[in-house]
Amino acid sequence: MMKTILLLAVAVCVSSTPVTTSVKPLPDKTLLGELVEELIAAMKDFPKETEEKLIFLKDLQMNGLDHKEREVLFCQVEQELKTKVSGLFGARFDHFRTDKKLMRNLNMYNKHHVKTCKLTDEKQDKIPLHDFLKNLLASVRIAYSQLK
Amino acid sequence: MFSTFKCQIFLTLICIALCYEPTKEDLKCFNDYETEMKCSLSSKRLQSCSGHKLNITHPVSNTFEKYTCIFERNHHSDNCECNVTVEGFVATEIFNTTLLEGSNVLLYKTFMTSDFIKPKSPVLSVQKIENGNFNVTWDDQYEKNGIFFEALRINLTYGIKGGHKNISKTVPNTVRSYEIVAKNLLPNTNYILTATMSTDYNDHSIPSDQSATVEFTTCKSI
Repeated sequence: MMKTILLLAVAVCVSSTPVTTSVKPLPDKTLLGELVEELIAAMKDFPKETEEKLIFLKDLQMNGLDHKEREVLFCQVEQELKTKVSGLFGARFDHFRTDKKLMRNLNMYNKHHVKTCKLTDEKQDKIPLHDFLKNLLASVRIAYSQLK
Repeated sequence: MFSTFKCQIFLTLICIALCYEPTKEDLKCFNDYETEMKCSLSSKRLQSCSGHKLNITHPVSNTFEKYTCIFERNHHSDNCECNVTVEGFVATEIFNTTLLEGSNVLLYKTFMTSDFIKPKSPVLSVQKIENGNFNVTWDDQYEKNGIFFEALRINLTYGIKGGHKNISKTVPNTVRSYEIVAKNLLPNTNYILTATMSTDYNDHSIPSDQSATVEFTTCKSI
């Protein structure tokens, strides 16, 4: 009798096992490819000769980087855009809202590549937003092409 | 006390036999990688959709977007279905879902965006062209061109109407058209054509629903 009850109790326990799913590895190619697209779209709202020269961001080193250096760069880029552009008033800055695809793609890439974001000195040289985006686009394109 | 314990076991076993306890396979969700996420709940023991809902939590940057998806009966499929509109999709973002009946949690399930993409069904068109062949074109139903658009593939299937043998051809969405060579077909015969779309984002693991059927007829002599 006791054996029967124990078997039934085990059956009850097994039938109430919690359900979970596992997450597959991350497709960098997709994230970077979409980041290229979003940057191109965002840059159309910031032609060079406009009052947006008034928005200056840190002149981060974006050329001649290896893979690890580029990972650090993208993390710093996300921080720079979040602090100086994401919250700006105006429809032109919508691309940089943290709930829009540009920042979301960048955020997801960084989440899976960089554990600690090394912040740069605020006294660093500054460049206009247009130039920042142009340099960033070139760097993302290189990273993307290396994955294709 | 011992008889109370036996009673509890007995009631639990009765509930296992008769109550609705869904498994993760009963809950399916798909997204179109544009704005829509659709979920369905299927089970032979599910008597009613009423009271069943899905609480969805979607981490976005440093915040959480929350949605509630309330199930209703789909009379075509007999499943419980619901959908929510999402502010765009990003390949590796996660959707955490909690299936509830009233306030009772039935199960938890996590979906990663790229894994559950099911593209929109294409809309087909067939035109006979000067050389007698048939030019197939399609609308993938996506507004934006770009990397996702380029990752789509269309699987065309055509065959004699009422027949059993079909021919399948898969081409990249970017080619935009496909020519069916008439001399490979029977003369004076009605053919039907359907298609599905799939995406490289999840290795083409989830095809779209099948498109509406289009018909074309070959000439008396080819």
